[in-house]
Amino acid sequence: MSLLSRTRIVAVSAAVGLLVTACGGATVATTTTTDTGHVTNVANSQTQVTAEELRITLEQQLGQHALLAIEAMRAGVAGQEHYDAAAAALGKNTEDLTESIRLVYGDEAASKFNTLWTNHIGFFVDYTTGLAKGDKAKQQKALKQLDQYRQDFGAFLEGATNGKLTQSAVAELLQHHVDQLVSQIDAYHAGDYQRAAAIEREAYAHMFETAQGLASAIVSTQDGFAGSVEGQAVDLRSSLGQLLGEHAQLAMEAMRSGVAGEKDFNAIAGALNDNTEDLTAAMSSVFGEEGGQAFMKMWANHIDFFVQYTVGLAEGDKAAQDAALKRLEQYRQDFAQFLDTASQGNIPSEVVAESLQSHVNQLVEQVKTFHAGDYQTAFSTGDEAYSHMYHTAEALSAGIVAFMGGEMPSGGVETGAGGTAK
Amino acid sequence: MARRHRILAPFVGLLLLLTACGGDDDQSTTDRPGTTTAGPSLGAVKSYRSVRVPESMPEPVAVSIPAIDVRGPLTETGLNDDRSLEVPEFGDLSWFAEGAAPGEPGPAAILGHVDTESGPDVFYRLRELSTGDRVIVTVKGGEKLVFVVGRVERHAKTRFPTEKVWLPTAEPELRLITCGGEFDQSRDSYRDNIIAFASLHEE
Repeated sequence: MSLLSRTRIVAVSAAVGLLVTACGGATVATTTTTDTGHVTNVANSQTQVTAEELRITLEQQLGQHALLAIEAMRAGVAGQEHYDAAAAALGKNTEDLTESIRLVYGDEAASKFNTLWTNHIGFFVDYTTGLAKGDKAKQQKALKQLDQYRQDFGAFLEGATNGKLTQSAVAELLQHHVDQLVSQIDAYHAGDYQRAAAIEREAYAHMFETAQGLASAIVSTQDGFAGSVEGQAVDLRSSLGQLLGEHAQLAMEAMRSGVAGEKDFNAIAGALNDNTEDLTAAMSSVFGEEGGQAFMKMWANHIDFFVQYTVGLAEGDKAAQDAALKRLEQYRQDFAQFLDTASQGNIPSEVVAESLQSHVNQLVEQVKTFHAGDYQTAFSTGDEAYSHMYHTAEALSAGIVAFMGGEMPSGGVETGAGGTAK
Repeated sequence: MARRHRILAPFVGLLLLLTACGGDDDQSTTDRPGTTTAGPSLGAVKSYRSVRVPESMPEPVAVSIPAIDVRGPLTETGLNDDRSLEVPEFGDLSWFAEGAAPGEPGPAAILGHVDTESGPDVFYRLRELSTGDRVIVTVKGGEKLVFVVGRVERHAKTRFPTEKVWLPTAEPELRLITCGGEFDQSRDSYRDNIIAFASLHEE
C-alpha cells in the first residue's frame, strides 16, 4: 500500500485505541528540479502524511521488498511453479515504493527511482539464474552490476535528500542488503536452509534501519511532514510492525512449504519460533512475566492450529481442516479477551477479534490457493496479510501506550541529598 | 523478590481458565483419528510444535561503568504506594526490580544517588557519561551484558519524560538515573534528574 492511498487517523486513547483507515489520496506535491537534474525540496504542505506515517510506511514497504525478493529468488533457484507469482508480487511492491517516492519527490524522481529499483531486482534475478545453472560468469556479472547500482542509487538518494544521506553511506547500507540476499540464496541453493532462514531475518531487519534513515533524511529536508520520526511511541509501533509483519510472512512461508512437502519447512519453522520468542519477550515487557507466559502459550497454540490446518489440507482431510479452523475460532475469542483484560480495556476485545478474523481468513486463503496452484491469488492474499499486520501493530501499540499510562512509575526520582550542592 | 507482577489477581484466574480450556494445546498434529498415512515429506510438518516457553533473563547482580569509575553490587528497589520510585540507600546502586531485567526487552533501570548530605555518592559523575561509554551489567550465573550509552539528558522532575524512560521497547535497553541541576534548599531536593539512555550491545 502506498502513502498515496492511506489517510489515517490514529487515536491514542483508551476509548478508541484502534486504527481508522480511510482510502483517500494525499495531494501529489509539485516538483522542482535543479539544473544538475537533482530533485530539490518539494513543497509538501498539502500532504496529510505525518513523519511517523512516512517512517512506518517505508519500513513496511522496504521490509516487504526484502521478504518478497528472497521468496522469488528461492522459487527461481529451485525452479518452483510459483516463481512468476512471487516475481509479480515483488513488482507490485516496487510500484508501492515508487508511489511513496512520487508523493515526496514528484513524477521525475519516481520514474528514476522505478528504473533503478527495477534494474537492481533484475540483477538479483540474474545472479539467481547464474547460480541455478552453475554459470559463475553470470553470477559475477550480476554482482558487478549490483556494485554499480549501489553507487547509482546512492547518488540518487544523495541528490534527493540534499546530501543528508551521502552516496557512500547509502552504498554501504546497500552492501549489507546485497550481501544478505546473495548469501541467503547461496545457502538455500546449497541446502543449508537454517542459514538461509537466519539471513532472511537479518535481511528483513536491515530494511528497518534503512527505512528509518531515509525517513529521517526526507523529513529533515522536506516541508509538510508533521511530527517526528523519533520517539518511544513510534519506536514501539515500528518494532511491533516489524515483528508482526515477520510473523505473518514466516507463517505463510511455513504453511506453503509444509503443504508442498518442501525440505525447508523445519528451517522456516525455526525462524518462526525465533520470531515468536522475540515478540513474546516484547509483550512481557508490557504485561509482566505471567502475562508474557500467557501470551506466548496462546500465540504458540494459534501457530500450531495454522500448521494443523495445513496438514489437513495437504492430506485432503476436510475434518482435520475444520477442526483446526474451530480451534482458531476459539483462539480468536480467547486471545481477544486476554488482551482486553491484560490491557484493562485499552486493547478492546472486539477490535482484536475482528482483526484476528482477517488474519485467519488471509492465512487460510493464501495456503488454500497456493495448494490449488492459484499462485497469483496466494501472493495477493499474502500481500494483504502482511499489510494487515501493520494495521494491527498500530492499534496494538496505541493500546499499549494508553495502558502503560497508568502502569509506568510516576514522576522523577529523589536520588540526592544536596551534600555537594554549592 | 518476585518482579513485575502487573497482572491483577482476577486476571490470573482468567488466564488460568483460558489456557486450560480454550487453547487446546494438547491437540498435537498427530493424535487425530481416521487420517491417511502421510508421506515422509509431511512428517516434519505433522510433528511441528511452536515454541511456547519464554526464555528468562537472570537477575542482575552487579554493574560497572569504567568511564566514571563506578563499580559495585546491585540491590533491588521497587515502587512506593503512589507509584513513585523507591530510592536506594546511600552508597547503593539499585536495580528497579519491578521493571525489565537488563538484557530483556524493555527499559531496565539502575538508580543511584548523586550525593549524600555530606558529599558525593555513587552516581555523582553520571553526568560525565558520553555517547559510546559502556555499562557492564553482571547477571546471576556470571554472564556480562554490555550496554552502550546513546545519550545523557537532564530533565526537570516536574516534567519527567515518563514515556521516554518507561515505555516498553522491543529491544533490551537501560536507563541510569540520578539527580542533578540546582538544589532546592526549601524542598531539600534537586530540581532535575539526569538520565543516561543505553542500549544492549550485541557482539
